[in-house]
Amino acid sequence: MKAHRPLRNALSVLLHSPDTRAPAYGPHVRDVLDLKRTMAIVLLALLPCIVFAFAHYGLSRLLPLFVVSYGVGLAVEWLFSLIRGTEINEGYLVTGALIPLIVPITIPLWQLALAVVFALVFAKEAFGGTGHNIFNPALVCRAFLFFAYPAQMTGAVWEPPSEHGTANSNQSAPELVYAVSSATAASMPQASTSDAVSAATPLALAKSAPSGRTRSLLDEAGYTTSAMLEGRIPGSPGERNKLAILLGALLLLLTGIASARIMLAGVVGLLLTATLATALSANPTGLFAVSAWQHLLMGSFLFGIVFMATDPVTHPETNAGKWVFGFLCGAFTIMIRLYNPAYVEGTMLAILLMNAFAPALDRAALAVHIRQRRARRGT
Amino acid sequence: MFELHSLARQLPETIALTTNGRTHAISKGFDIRLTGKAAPGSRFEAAAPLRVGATAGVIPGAKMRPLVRVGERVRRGDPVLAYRDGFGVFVVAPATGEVVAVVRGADRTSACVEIARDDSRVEEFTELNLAALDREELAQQLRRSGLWPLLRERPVGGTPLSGPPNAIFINVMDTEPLAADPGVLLRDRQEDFKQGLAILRRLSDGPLYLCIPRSTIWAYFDELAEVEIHRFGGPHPSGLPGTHIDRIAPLAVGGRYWTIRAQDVARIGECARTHAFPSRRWIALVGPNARRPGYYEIHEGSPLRLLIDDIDSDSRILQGTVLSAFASDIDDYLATTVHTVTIIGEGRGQRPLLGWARPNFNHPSASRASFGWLRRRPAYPIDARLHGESRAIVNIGVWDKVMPLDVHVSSLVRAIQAGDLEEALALGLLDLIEEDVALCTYVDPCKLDVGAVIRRGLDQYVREQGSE
Repeated sequence: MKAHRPLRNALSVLLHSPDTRAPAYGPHVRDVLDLKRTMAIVLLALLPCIVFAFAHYGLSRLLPLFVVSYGVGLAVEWLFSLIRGTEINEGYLVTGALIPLIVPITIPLWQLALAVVFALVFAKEAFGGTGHNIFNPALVCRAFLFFAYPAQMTGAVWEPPSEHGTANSNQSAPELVYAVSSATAASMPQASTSDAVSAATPLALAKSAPSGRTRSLLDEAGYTTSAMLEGRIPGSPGERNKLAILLGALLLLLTGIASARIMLAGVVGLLLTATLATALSANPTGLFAVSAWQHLLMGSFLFGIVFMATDPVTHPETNAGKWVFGFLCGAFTIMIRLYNPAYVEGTMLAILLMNAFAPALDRAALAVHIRQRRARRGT
Repeated sequence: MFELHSLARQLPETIALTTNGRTHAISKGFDIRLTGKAAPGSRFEAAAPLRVGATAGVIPGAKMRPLVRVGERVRRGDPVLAYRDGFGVFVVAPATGEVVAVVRGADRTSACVEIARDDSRVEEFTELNLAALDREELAQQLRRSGLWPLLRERPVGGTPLSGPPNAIFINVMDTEPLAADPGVLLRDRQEDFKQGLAILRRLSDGPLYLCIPRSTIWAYFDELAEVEIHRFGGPHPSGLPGTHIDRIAPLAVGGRYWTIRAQDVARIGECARTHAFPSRRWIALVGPNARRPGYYEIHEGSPLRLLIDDIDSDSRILQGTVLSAFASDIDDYLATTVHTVTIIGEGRGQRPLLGWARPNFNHPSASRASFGWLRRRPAYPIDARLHGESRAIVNIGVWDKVMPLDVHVSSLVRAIQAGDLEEALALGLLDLIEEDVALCTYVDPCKLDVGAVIRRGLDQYVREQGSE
């Protein structure tokens, strides 16, 4: 197969509509919604987050991440389309935009490229390509980085110089504990300009706070509720501005592209589990002392539940399955955050775990459905 | 005798007429509103044809064997095609004349026998007698009369080729886009309809169900004692027999139902009255590309050219509605089982720039993603474009929104594609035929032909039944 043909076809179909028509037998008309339009709406929903990220970090820092993500990703897709003799699918349009938003801004580009290749080959193409994967490729990419290059993924997060000229973090908190040894933390790359700082994320700060000091520590660092909503906190580029995420969620729900059940169940699961955990702990310290609503605003849960957990390929198809899936995503996020001493953020691992169980949830829901059908028909 | 839907809506108290059955409201589904509707008051007459074709259309599982050769003379009502599986089911000649061509059907095309029609004023025809009192004899006569292919059997959806059914469902509704209104087709044919009902009553021991639209005043039908009348309201597919069966009496394992349209019941009655194969009937010509949409009185088996004077080169002629039809040439003949002829555009060569990114205000979309809901219209044009390419299944939940039956379609499709027939049967394969999932195919963003998958599953089921 000529090497350029998949690229030419993909470009031609991207710029114009495909010249495909219904066959001579069967329904002769189709709705105007196709997978490209679905992806376009998700990208539109991501636009507030992307705009905020570019506004905050600047073009020179964030654009290389997008270029590497899309460039390497499309190269892998092209290679596999050649091997398989199929067309290039548009599945990577959304994944390619998600990946730069969930990795730290200081990630070395070669690590990002490696992670994209790993995620696409092992978590998507090995299963058959778009529509066949079990795990969310963007999350697998981040998981690969997390486990293979933990130094770059954990610890203090680089912040660009703030416009007001004052440092927006408190680096002198003595009780900061990281998932890596302090020696490794000391060897992390420092910002080149003198005003740039490295800061602990609200979750990291809260997790290591001693009893009774969580709220005050957060306030001292400037991590108020409004700051977390507007994204004036350290974190990965996409998951900081909760208002932008909520705008995106609104668009996805309005157009009916993402599952409202999963989003709602996730939020409910998170809030319930957090409240329960705090209520059950005798002497709440660290993250136990954070209220359930703050858990929603801290970290990457909101981004994860709106854009990652609602990936239609990796979540259950049955309605009952979706409720359980969403609920357990929220519940496991809290459990990993609170009960696991090593990991500060649990969203990625919780969603990946539930992705693995999505088929099982569907099977259970279908077994109940089949039994109900038999009862109704008296067989 | 009956009134149109719009009039009924002005008189809400008349909606609650006595029905001995129930009223069912279907909430899931989608009405595809298209331009080119046939006005109920329109009456056109098509010219008498020089040639007719004896064809039953594309029926699943029907393999036919021609009984005549080119050059033989046949009379109206003579069998010319036989079902190969026997059982004595025939397709008969719609007019007297000489056979000029025999087209064997292959796979998804229909077998057809072309006859050059005699021009004589006095027409000879073969007498058909549907007055037998014995059930077996009556069934045999009906099979021989050429009207048997109007019946469909559930499950599987082919022509009934075995014993009597557990129930018969008569459909007085058609909610498919632009479909011919059975109320219009039954105009002035109430006596024939009653006679047809009486014949069907004798063919089965089980109940007869009549399914009529909820908002219509069908005072006539309240006089029928031997049928159970059910009313259905809501979007398509509330008018499909599959939905009626699911709501009234779900098919049990090993059960068998027959379904038939009300206008075909009237044809059976007419055959019983005139002792001959009915040669003229009313059909609807509809569609965005039809020059003169309306109701036409046409000779049975006419070439479509008599109906459609001139046509765009970029048009597709469908025998049936846009959701369940087979494409035809202008030189093809009208099949016995077809009541609506739709003409839509092919959509060749239309490739708008960034078509997937544009808001589509000019397309009947079931999804809110095309932003067409911001500017709703009463009717839309449509063509045969896929608006996308075929992809692996990505389930964003649109199928569930148009499936009112108790079937989880995406899991069923996956079971059939994996070849797991047991799982497919447990999930409800036998509740569906292609027309029940046509809306799922319409709304699917991955452009999968769900009906074709269902048919594959049903074919596998039939094969395994046959091999037992």
